[in-house]
Amino acid sequence: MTTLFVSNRKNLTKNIFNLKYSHWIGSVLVSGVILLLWEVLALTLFAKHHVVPTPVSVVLKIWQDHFYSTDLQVTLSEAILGWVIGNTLAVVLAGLSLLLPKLESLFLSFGVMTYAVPTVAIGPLLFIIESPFDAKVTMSVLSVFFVTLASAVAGFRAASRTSLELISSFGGGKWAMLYKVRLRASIPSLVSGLSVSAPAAILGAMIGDYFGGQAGLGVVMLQAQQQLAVSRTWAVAVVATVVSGIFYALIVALAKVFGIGVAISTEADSVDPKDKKYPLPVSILFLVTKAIIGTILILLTWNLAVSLSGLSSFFVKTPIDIWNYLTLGSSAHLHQQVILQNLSITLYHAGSGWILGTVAAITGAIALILSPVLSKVIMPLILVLRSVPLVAMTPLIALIFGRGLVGVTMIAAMVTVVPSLVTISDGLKSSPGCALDVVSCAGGNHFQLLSKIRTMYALPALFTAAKISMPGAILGAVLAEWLVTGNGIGHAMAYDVTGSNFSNLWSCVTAIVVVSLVLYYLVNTMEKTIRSHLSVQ
Amino acid sequence: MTDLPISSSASNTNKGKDSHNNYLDETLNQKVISRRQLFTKGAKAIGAVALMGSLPEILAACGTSSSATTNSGATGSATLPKANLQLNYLENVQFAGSFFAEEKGYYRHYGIDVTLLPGGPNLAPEPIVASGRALVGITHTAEVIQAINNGADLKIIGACFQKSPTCIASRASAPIRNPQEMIGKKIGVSPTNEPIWQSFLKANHIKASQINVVTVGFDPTPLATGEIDGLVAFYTNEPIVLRLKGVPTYAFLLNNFNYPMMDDVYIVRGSDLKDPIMSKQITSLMSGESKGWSQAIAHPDEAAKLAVTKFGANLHLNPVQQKLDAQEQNQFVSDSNTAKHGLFWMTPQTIAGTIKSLSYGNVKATTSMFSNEILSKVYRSGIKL
Repeated sequence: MTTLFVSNRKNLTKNIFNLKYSHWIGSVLVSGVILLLWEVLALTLFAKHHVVPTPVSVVLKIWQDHFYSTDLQVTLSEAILGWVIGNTLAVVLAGLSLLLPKLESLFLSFGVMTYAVPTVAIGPLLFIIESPFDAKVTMSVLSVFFVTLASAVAGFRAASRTSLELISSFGGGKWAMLYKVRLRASIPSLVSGLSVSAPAAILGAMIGDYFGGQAGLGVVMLQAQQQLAVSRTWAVAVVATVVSGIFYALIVALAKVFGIGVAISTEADSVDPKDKKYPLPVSILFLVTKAIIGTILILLTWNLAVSLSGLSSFFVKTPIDIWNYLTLGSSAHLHQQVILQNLSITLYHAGSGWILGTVAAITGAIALILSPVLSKVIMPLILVLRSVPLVAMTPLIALIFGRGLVGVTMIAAMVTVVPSLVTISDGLKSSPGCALDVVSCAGGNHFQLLSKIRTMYALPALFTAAKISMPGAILGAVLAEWLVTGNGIGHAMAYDVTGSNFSNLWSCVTAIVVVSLVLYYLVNTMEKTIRSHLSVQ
Repeated sequence: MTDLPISSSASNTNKGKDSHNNYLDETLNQKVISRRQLFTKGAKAIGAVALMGSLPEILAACGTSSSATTNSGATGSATLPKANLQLNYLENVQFAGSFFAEEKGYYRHYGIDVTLLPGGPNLAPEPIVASGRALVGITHTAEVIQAINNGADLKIIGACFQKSPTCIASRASAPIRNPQEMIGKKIGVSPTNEPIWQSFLKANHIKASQINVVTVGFDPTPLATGEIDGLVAFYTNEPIVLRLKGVPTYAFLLNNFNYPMMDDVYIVRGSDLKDPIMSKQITSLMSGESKGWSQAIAHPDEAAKLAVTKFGANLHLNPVQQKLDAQEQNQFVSDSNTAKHGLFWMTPQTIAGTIKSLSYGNVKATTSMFSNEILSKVYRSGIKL
């Protein structure tokens, strides 16, 4: 109750309830229509395809299988542990990077690397060095860490400069700024990271089940898929989605309790003024130097880690091994060629998926901002979509869209669209109140607000979204290649795992990670340029 | 233990004193080893963390270290050495023999405490065994040979399936009866089956370009939907699943068309075979395994029950399908060769046939990669064939 008053204190209580009520009805209505459509399609169009069961049979199956309580327990214990560990690390590192700004790009690089390393490749390694339970927790950690790190770093930077200057003028140092201002200002962004990472944690644990397990939602789904138990496959997907949704909603609700009375900054971002002092060539030189130092650091750590681990050189390769594999011997040239060929296929898949997903996200975000009612009704459904385990959708996507470019594009787009939609619509909403007021007072309507103010301020959000959605699209493409299309680097890695061709596997991983890192920093630089440009205006 | 219908031979009791001493030595060694393992485990964890280039694993390790220590510390079963057996799929009736061995205490009877590690479609057992995480692994033949050629110190010590159940399944309404009939058709191949598929085509002088190959996942849906005409499948799995779903299938075994191949082979580290203690543990494990499989063959219904209600209890297995699977797979495990030499035995003929089949896919196997050394110890100590 109090939260309602606080967040909407300008409105009358009655209105709040009416509004709340109508949104609920809207959401329920839309869900009802979707379910009905599903039932009809399952009974008609998909009846002979053994892929789409009716919603009724799915619910019945969930009931018959006792809600998969044992499997749910196992998956949740892995996911929650992974979520806690991954997010704690992310927040701590984000805080550290504020106190030691020089380390920020290093942490973010590690973040991108953890996000970009394909599960197909890293899974087998985790199961060698850890117990199956720990390996699944780690996969869960890997799928949440970067998402939260990125939003925590953005959140800590979101503190309004006036508040920071106030602290500074009263003699407060970095700690005081962190504690008194930044931590509070970071809450909205942080919460978005924490909540989006909840379904991701569950998905990470479920993908871990593809490497074996006695119980777990992924294990049941795997067995159900293999036995063509279609309604069970979907039942598990539904249970995973519902649980992910609850996990997500719980964090949002909790955050609301803590969020009371926090002044949300109206300034887009406090850009480090130092960035602007250097002319372009110098800053590019800095970037290149940083990249070289970073690469050397990563290679040294990698080499050291391999020699310290004492793991067999049969499956763990050093950078030197990979260098030799790609440059020495008569077949080195062939190795290079095959990897580059596969990489270009994967980038083609990821690129088309990313473009489709981003266009859809922009269109969706604009539609949502123009119609606040639509936003309240559709947004929860979109977030539910985020929690659908992608693996369960692949047979359906392959059936509808085929096993070619369209199918893989759809999967990569699905990975891209929801996080982008959320970030971009947040960006559209984050325009400074005063700027919006100027247009409103002059009699501007929704469209004019959008075209004159919101789009401009949402531009940085587009880049923020791209920083996560670009590696995400690559990840989606790799997953689709592994499970559906049978080409590209995703397929090559699955093939390498079964044939124990670890030199090629590690080369593929390196290629994917390098490409993701380069893309990330390209977008990051563009984002910085635009942000500083905007704050000048 | 009294219900063990095992004819423990006289040679066992004769060696009573000796084996007692060996036993003491073994337990002492075991303690040393387990401590050493703890250290290496820690070192590995640290290495792993650095390797990943991020810190999540440190905490992951911290958060769950309690479970790790209870595992290594739980020497409640006191004297028996512990070992893992890495399976290559989820715990369904495919591993019936191991379930019997575990459930009826055969492993323990032969002196080893075995934990079964379930696998999955994307887990390769080779690195798990090569790293020592599992003492013995069950895997596909082509995959282990490739691993050995890529530098893994592994040896094949027996074959659960004397002939591979890998088949080409098709809809009974449009049967594909032999390799030549695949030409011009859409055949689904999963990445896991890719190496076998490639060499099978060569063995039958068919070019990949003559067939429309579609990459599929691990489920047989595309065959049911008509998206593909044929599917590289396991005779004991997908055809039964589809039959129960009302999609009757036809299937021919690759084994019957120029492609003889042992499958579900047992693998161990080459270095373990040379180590008397480890070699003894492997012999114990394989003795339990052999005893378990002889029971599984005799009681397929009980095997299915064990899979459905105990080992795969959380997988929601289909009891009818598991029962059919258990009955069908017997023909692959036992034949005239195993009747003569014992289960898992690899005759020079089957080894030569397998090597030839593999060579079609440029997978170069040699006879030295196969060894009956453990099995001869197993059957010398008096397990009934």
